[in-house]
Amino acid sequence: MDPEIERLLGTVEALVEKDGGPIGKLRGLPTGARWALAAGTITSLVAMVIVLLRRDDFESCPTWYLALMAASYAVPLTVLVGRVLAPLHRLDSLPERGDLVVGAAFCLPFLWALFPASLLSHAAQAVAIKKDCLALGVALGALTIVALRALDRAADTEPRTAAMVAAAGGLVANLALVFHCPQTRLLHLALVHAPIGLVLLFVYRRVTSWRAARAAGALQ
Amino acid sequence: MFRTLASATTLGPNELLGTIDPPESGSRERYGLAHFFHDADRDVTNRRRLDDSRNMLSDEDLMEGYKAGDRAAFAEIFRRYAPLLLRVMQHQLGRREDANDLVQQTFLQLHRSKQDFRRGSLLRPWLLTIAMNLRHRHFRRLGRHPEMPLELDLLEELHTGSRVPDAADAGCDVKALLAGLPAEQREVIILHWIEGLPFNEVAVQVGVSLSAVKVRAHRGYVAIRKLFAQESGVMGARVPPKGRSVGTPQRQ
Repeated sequence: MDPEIERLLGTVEALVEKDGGPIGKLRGLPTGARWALAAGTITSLVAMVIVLLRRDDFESCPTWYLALMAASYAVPLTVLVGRVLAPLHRLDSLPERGDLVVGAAFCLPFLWALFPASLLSHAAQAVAIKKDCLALGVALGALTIVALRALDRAADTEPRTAAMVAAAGGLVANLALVFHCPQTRLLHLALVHAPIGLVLLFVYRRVTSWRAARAAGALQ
Repeated sequence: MFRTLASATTLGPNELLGTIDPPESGSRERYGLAHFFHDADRDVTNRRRLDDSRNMLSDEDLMEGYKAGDRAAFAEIFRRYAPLLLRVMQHQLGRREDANDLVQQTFLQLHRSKQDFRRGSLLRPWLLTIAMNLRHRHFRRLGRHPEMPLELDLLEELHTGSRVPDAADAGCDVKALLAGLPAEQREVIILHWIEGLPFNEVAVQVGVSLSAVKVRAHRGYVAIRKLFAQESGVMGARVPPKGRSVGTPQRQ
């Protein structure tokens, strides 16, 4: 037996042993179960906003508009979550397509800011500005990122993965804000709602860099 | 039918564990050097028999065993594939430390993904794909592009001289042929032609529909024919098949 291989095996077995905690158990679940958990978490976050922090004009707001907005966020979100949680034993044959989805996810809220409900429907009226949109959005996005990180088996910090989870967090935040904030002003939507994904990306990158530096420092 | 390591041998529980029976409390004095060597010899013999029985198990049996909680099966899988992965990774990455790290990560991912491993799947392409994806991520993290796709490098390792018989007959390098294909066609061709997987399994591996796999394979084989003809200069030479001709399929 090759001593180097045996030594490496010892290290791997130690890694596997260390992976036995709650996070390791989550990551060890079958892909379908991890996907269902992620979907459940996101649905719960949005449902919590609808139940507890619903917009004032929820009853009078056109249903088709809410449904259209929700669907437009849910579709790229589904693709992103699927890619983040994709098992590594499958080849990612079209990574460029994933990059397009990430780009679209960051741009979509800006696009919707140009078409507020007041433009699309006479029923929607501009109301007083909600002051908690940014904080609520960032909190929901951060929770989404934490959930995806916990369920992602590789969970590394390379730029593409970071962009995907941040974009997913931004989409969840904007999806929830559709049901929370009745504001239709372009400036509010473009400066507070839409950039949440980018804010999350910035913060996520800073946090992971800081953690990597700390881990490197601990090793030295 | 899945066989556990235990059922694959005729050894009893103690023998499976390879333990030395402890002496009776009252006969410790009599448990001298001769007994020790006798028991140690028996232990070595048992271990050899156990190792031999593990060697007879297929990768897939071992993986099923590991799913059922047999850690020795994981060690056996590691011993079978770690040397190959280590060689290829070091060739690709240059640094031994990076190669060691990626091999460790590959097997950690194998452990985390074990519940996704389905009966009837093949372990080798499964494991190599994990390694390939981790290698891609490693290069992305460094902001570099791999100089050579891992699958081609693995091919070189898995198939001596990187030649498949029919192509070799005409003096054609398989690696060069495959390198001339778009990535999505190459992936399908490798799994179907080299690995010998049927199209439905290739579809599962790649994660696209069966018809999409067939289209990619058709285009890939047509392209290979052209490349092959160009390289060998022999029109009508035996080339990769419409369906398959090279590499006996492991399962249909």
